[in-house]
Amino acid sequence: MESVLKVILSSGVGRAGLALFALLTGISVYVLVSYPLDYGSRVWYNPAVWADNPAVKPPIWAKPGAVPHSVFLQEEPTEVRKASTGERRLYRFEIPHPYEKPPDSLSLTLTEAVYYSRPPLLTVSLTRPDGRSVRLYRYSPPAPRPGEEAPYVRHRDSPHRVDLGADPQVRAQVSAFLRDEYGLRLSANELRGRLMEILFGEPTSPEERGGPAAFRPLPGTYALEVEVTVFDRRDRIGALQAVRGGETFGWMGTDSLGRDLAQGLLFGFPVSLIIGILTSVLATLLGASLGIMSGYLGGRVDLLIQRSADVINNIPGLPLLIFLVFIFGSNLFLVIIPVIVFFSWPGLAIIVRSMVLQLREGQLVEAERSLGATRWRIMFRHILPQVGPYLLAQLIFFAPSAILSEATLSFLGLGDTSLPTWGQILEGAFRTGAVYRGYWWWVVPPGLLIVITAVAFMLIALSLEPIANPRLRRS
Amino acid sequence: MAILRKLLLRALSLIAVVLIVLVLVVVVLGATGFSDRILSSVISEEMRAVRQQLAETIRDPQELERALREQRRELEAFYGLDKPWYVRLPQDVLRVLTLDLGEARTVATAQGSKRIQDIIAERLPRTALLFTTALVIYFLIGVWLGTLLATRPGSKLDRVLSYFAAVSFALPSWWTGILLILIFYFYLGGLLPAGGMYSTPPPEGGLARFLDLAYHAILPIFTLVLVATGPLMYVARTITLNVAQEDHVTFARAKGIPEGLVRRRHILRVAAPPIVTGLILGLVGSIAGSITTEIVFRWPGMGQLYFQAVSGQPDESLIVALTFVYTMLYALARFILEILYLILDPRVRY
Amino acid sequence: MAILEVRDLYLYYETPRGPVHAVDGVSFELPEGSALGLVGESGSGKTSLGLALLRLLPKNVDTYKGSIRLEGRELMELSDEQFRREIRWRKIAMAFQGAMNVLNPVVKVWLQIAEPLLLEKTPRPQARARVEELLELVGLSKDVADRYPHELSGGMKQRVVLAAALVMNPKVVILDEPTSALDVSIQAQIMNLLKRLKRELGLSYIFITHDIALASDLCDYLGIAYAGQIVELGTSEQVLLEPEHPYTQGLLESIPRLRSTRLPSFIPGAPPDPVDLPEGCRFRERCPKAFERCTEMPPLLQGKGAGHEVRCWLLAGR
Repeated sequence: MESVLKVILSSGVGRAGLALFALLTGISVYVLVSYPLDYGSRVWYNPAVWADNPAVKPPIWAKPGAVPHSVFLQEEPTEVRKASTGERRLYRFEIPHPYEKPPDSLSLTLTEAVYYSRPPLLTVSLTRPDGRSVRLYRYSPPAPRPGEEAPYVRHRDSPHRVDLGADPQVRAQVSAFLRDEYGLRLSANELRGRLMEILFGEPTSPEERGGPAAFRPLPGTYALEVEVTVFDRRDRIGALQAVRGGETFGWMGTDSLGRDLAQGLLFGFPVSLIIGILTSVLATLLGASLGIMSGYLGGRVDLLIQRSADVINNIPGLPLLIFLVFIFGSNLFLVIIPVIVFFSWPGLAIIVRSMVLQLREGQLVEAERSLGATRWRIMFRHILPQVGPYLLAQLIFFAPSAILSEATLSFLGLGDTSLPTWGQILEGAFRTGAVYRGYWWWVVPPGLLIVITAVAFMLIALSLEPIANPRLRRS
Repeated sequence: MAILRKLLLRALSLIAVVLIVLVLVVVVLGATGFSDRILSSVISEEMRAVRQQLAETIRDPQELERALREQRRELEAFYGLDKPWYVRLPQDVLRVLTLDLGEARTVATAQGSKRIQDIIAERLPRTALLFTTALVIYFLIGVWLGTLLATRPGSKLDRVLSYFAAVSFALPSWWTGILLILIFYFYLGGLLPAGGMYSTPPPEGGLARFLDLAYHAILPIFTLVLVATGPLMYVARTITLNVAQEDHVTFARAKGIPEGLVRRRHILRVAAPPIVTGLILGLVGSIAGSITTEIVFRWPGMGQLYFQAVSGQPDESLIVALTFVYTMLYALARFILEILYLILDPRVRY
Repeated sequence: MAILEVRDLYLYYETPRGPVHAVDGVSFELPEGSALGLVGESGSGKTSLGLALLRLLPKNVDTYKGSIRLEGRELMELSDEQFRREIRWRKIAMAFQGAMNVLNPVVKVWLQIAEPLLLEKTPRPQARARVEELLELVGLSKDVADRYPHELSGGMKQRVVLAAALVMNPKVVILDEPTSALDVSIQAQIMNLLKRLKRELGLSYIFITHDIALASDLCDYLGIAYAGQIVELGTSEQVLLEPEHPYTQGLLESIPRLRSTRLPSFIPGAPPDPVDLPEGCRFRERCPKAFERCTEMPPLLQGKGAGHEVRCWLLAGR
């Protein structure tokens, strides 16, 4: 073991590989500690988590000066006014928008409303930098069902979310706003897809526009106000959240479901390392023990193992891999890893067998045997330590191909869908045509990470070449 | 004669491998109940059509049900679902072995034939075109570069290309393909097509069609070459370097043989058999690469067909047939390379 | 007259730890038709000397200088191309150590022997005839010609290598451990063959070996090599019967004798690290007779008369 480490450290390639490997391990440990283990099913594949995120947006660093993605959360009202029957609570969101373009989207989410008599009434309006105010949206949580007892709880598990840039109610309100304020007559239908442009802008003068109505951006501070009218003092609102959708998102951008790619990519680190290490350990163990058995026991066992190895060695891997994973399902630990192991051991078993055959005739083993040591004892006490360093080199050699095999299966849509992996992120990208639309942040990083992880193992394996060389001297 | 015996043995063992794989595929399909499920879904679908037909002629509901049951039994007998899988599947194996590959469910040839034989006959040449061209190119480049590097180990070029080899071993061909599409299709404004085999509509005339095909083949072939060259180059370099240090090379130099001839006859010629071995070992990867590359570039070959057969609505006959054909192709390619090895290395001829 | 005259030949290799003094100022003369045995332990630089004479230098050469005169012609002045065309195999041939790996495994035996001939545009039938003649000369049957090396035994391969060395009628043949990989009985056959060839063809040999007994059987002159230098040089009689250098004496005492009750002795220790040689005499650390001066200054090769030369302070008197 020590000598192997010394060999790795003695070459620049080995040191680079080891450093890279340490970095990957560090990130993996961080992820394992800070992410829930059921992250895949609970977060990554849960669309509700990502509802507020803009879809397919590049990372923030890629587009300096772009409208950022901002989330405003308020759990307590800014202002409370008594009314004859209950209270008016005002939630005010200050949205600084010094940009010469409208935001991508604007949404409001209500989480948990508890009331005792009548449902509260929410009135949403937007006050613009030019002092004009637009009434946008009104909403009341569903009324009590027959037989239901107070307090009535609404939207605790499924928050109410409204996309202020697309809601028909908002369209109607904006249409009225344009007519009243600017004398512009645009039907609700004509406003489809233009709400953000209108709300965050002002119409150009008739001589400027010449043709149909156009709007110029109106930078400044906007205020989104939500007035909640409650009819019982005990009524409660959990939280209100306003989200201004940005042109960019997070460190790694988002995919078509608005998922934060940075999270998916981070979660891929431990998954990919575990696949690489577990598969190669299993394949090496299997290959080595079968090789030692084959070489040492000889006879029918030898024949059987070598024939099987020969058959598996002559099978074109991927078509069969696809077939088996397709049939047995894509559970990572129960199917994918065992199947990759099944196709990986033969080469090693054949080489270890020939090494054992040489060692078996060696003097040390002969002396042991004459002293009455059992076959198993000789095998594990004397032969295993001698082929050990070579096995370690092989172990590292297996890892990149295991990682690549899993990634390929994932890319073909046969990945384990309980865990996000780099291969699956790429599969999603390819399936939805991200490549042809140039969504580089969705396509390049996951592949790059696969390559970097595989390269880390490759570099270490390269530095172990002096140990692993018998493989190359086949003739 | 010894050489013939050896070849015969190799051929037999490769045929055995093909047989074993076929049996394995069929047993897995049968034992997991997959085959039954697929067949009954096929029958249910056909029954829907039958029900509509019969409903027009038979008015009495009871009679209709009876007729339908009768029909279903007939269909089950036709598909062999009335027998357990271990009775049904040996026939499938024999059928596949006699190259009677059955019918595909949805895929068809350009002429509309659903016979898998016809489908494969249409697709195989396309795969072969991609695969063989790439193989020849990366073999030439890989061996040339590898042996070139072996003459100057430790040089800057050598170090750079060694890193390239490590990286190219770690490059999944499908991701490489995606990157190339991103660059050559998206960023360079459609300089090269993103996929397919011909433009739509395909140009008229033999030469124009051929050029269009070549134009579409550039990126997939480039992908395969890029991914496979590095490892082969590295193997070629290491082997050549090892051979160059052997005593017989010094002996040849001592004989006053000019350096060029020493290189060709006493280094490269001796390194050739193990390099072929390296090529054989790389073959599995190349086949895998050709499957994913076809998928990425929507190249309508066997790999894409296999992907279609597995994804969406699975097609059992197609899966069995393609696994069989792929195993056979691999065995064949291996056999050809092994003959090459036998020709190159007199030591294994006896 | 000496057919080969070597003066102050140096060959240093460059290594990360510093230069290796593989051949460090070697001088000797080889009279025509005679055999010079170069005896030394492994690492004494004797194989490097053989390679240096044929200018077969590895890539990491640090220093290569001195004078090599063949039939009075200075070889060090020749260009590499001239040397390759005129000297290698045509004047000086070499039968290599470890005959196992010396032959190209994928080329037929006769082509390997005939290669230099064919290179000179000798017609194939003529070359073939020459190869068959040589094979018979070294005691092999003609049909060995069409075989591949892996079909031959170790002894047969060694004979093939010898035949190959003779193909261009060289004046000097360097024999580098030609028998060390062989069984004793086959060793004797090869030694007899070498003697016969020397007699019949008038060859001059440089016989490189670690086995002083074997060398004494064939050679007219003996040179004892130690750590890249020759420590004793003379006729076989002089070196064997009146060894002056403690190392030579040690070597001779290590030969087991049939009719003696004396146990063969051995030289304690191991040859010095070629990168980090001791100051003064290189043998002093293992020398039973070392004294003060041996640590102070390296001894020079001194004539003892009648061509017998020794590199030892003992000869200068205490």
